[in-house]
Amino acid sequence: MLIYIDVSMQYANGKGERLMAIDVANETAEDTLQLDWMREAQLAPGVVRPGRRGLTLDEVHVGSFADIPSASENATFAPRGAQRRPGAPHNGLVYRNRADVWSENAALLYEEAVQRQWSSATDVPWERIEPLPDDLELAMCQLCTFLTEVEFIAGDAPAQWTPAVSADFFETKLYLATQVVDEARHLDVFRKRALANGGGLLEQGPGTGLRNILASLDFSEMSVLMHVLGEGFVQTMFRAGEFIAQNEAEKRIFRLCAQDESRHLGFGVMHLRYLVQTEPERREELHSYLDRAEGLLNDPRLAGVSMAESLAILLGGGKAHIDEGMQRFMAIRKRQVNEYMHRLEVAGMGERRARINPAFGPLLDPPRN
Amino acid sequence: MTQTPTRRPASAAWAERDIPDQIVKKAEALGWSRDLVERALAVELTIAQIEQALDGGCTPEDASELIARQVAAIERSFPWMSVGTELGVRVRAGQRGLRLGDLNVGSYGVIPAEWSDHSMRPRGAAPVAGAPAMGYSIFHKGDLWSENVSDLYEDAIQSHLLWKPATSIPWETMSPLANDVEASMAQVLTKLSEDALLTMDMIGRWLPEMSYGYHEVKCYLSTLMFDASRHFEVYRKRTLASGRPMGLQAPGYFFHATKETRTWPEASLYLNLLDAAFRQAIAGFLKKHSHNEAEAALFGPVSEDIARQLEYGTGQARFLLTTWPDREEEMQGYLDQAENIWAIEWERDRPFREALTVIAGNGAENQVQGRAEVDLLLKDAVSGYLEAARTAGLSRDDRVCDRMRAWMV
Repeated sequence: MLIYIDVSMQYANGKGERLMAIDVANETAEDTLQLDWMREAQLAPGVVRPGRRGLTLDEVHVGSFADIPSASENATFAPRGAQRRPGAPHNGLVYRNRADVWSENAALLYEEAVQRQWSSATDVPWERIEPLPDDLELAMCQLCTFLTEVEFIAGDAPAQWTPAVSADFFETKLYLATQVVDEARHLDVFRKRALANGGGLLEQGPGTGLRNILASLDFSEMSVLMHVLGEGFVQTMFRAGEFIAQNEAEKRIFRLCAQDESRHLGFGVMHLRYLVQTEPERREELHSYLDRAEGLLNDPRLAGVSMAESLAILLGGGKAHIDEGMQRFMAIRKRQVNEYMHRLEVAGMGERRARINPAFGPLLDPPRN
Repeated sequence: MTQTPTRRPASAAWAERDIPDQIVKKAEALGWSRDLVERALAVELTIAQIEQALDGGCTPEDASELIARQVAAIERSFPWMSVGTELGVRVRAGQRGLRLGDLNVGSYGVIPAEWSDHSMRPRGAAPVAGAPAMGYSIFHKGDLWSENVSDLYEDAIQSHLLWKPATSIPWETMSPLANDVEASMAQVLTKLSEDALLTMDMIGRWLPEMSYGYHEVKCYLSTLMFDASRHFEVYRKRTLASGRPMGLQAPGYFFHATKETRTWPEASLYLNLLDAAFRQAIAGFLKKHSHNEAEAALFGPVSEDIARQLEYGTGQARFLLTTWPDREEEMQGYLDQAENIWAIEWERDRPFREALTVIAGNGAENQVQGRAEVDLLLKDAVSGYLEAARTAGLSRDDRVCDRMRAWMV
């Protein structure tokens, strides 16, 4: 039986009436429990016991629980494996193909992220910060201003794609949630550092490359631009944190952030790999995204002079040594480019070497065989 | 935004300091004149840098070159070093560490009622001309702010350190339950898993809309998204660890209606006030009726997470009404709708109700007892919701929908 229920009966101004067609047959009489919804199936043998790493998603995903469809018709919130209820409303557009959002390591990365949460309030030895010469303090503050902005976008970008991931591929949703909170902690820790040692925030960056990530029109476009290219470059910088940092607190910040970034990169590389293996026809499309993003990264009008100068001052040990610092900066840039290329090779896009941006080309080492 | 002028850093005074004796001695030993040392200090080389040069055997000629390079460096323009933002800020960690709210000092603590910057500029940083707009749509503090949000963020972060579903729950205490009870747990946790997905999607949907004048809110909501992911995870583990499948999905009307909301304040009322209040009661109910230590250890932290969400929901609505008292009727109208749809979802979800009944009665055969417990749950849930609404400044005591009012009896 279908009836219409006026859910706006108490809407004060009488406007906004909305009628919902709802089948209420047998839904209100409850003299006895019907229990017709109970599923008798036992799909895995008995109670699962936690393993060495506790009870992980992989450990409960045994038997038919481990089946992940290559395509999903599920635009509701029914978690994979739940019985579908006919008539459940859709909750917006979601990707149908697993390849569009999938990464084989998503569940693993999620579990690792949960285990490796940290707090910028209590896990950074703030008491180890000591006054720095002004040029170094200002350079660190400028770098932190830049990084805070980067982390803003690195949180917003995965967040905005979360609703587009079907509940059938919830591992990706879970992973994205960990990235969002990671980036909040990064935003927060760099702001804290900028305000902890006699400096302050300085000048915002140009933002064009960041906007390019946020403006992505496809999950994989976002992932390859942010995870593989953008966060790859940031990760290489964080791993050079021992040379950038001026004290133990800063070293810890870079180490903790690098640990998080490794997961983000891991997701991106494995997503890219899954995508190009499953849908090789998308290679050219992915290259086109990288063509543009590499170009933005190398456009001197858009690349952010303040970031390069501040990093060079920190690497050189002061304004007077900025030339040495710039040499070290270029060494980091070379490493960034080579690690980026290596990740693309791991993902199965080694052909990128032949069309990488001309500014990156001279920095590339010979291919590994 | 008001910004104070740059203060000259303290080290500028170093050139006026006396030269330490050990520097004078080392300088003389290498043939440096006092004038050379004073010139080095005048170009802002530090005592430590000079001493390092001396210890390295730096000749007067080398020193002159060093000074020349320093002069060149000083003369080199680094415009970003003097952009007029407030400097000299030295926030200290307190007993609970260096917390987000501690940073709100001086001009950095000025949180404007309206944030007009469309780029990703952090609050307190200097703008650059030409920075692109990022597409944010929420620029008014009244639309998203809650006074407790910095503390909620830090508290959430601390909870993430403590509660990790894979390892913090004594899963080994789980033992096979009666079939009907186990199936009921699966049914209830399926519905709660969907709730968690709703929260993740809603935060994901709105986070990129919020401008960075209010980064504290974005930080807190990021933790809420992560909390929801842990809830989904732990519900799924609890269900599948028994070897049984998930249950029947929920009707989904409330999910759909929540996703249909058109503004963050409206969405927040659905998600962080009404739904959070009911989920809070359900988590308490499931903790009370837990079957083993694992379940007890599961629903306690879930309840704490939801408590933070509810605090944000009430705090946000309260702040909005303080900012725009004339929007109360609009907010009340949203709750009129939300309550009805939540109640319809409940009425439509017989499997969920029956499953709660079986759990409370510890078996289908005790359905009378179970049903009484579920009635009590509903009564508690509505009470909790009405209290939260009052705290938000949106008293529903005389306006709560008839369905929910009936649950109070």
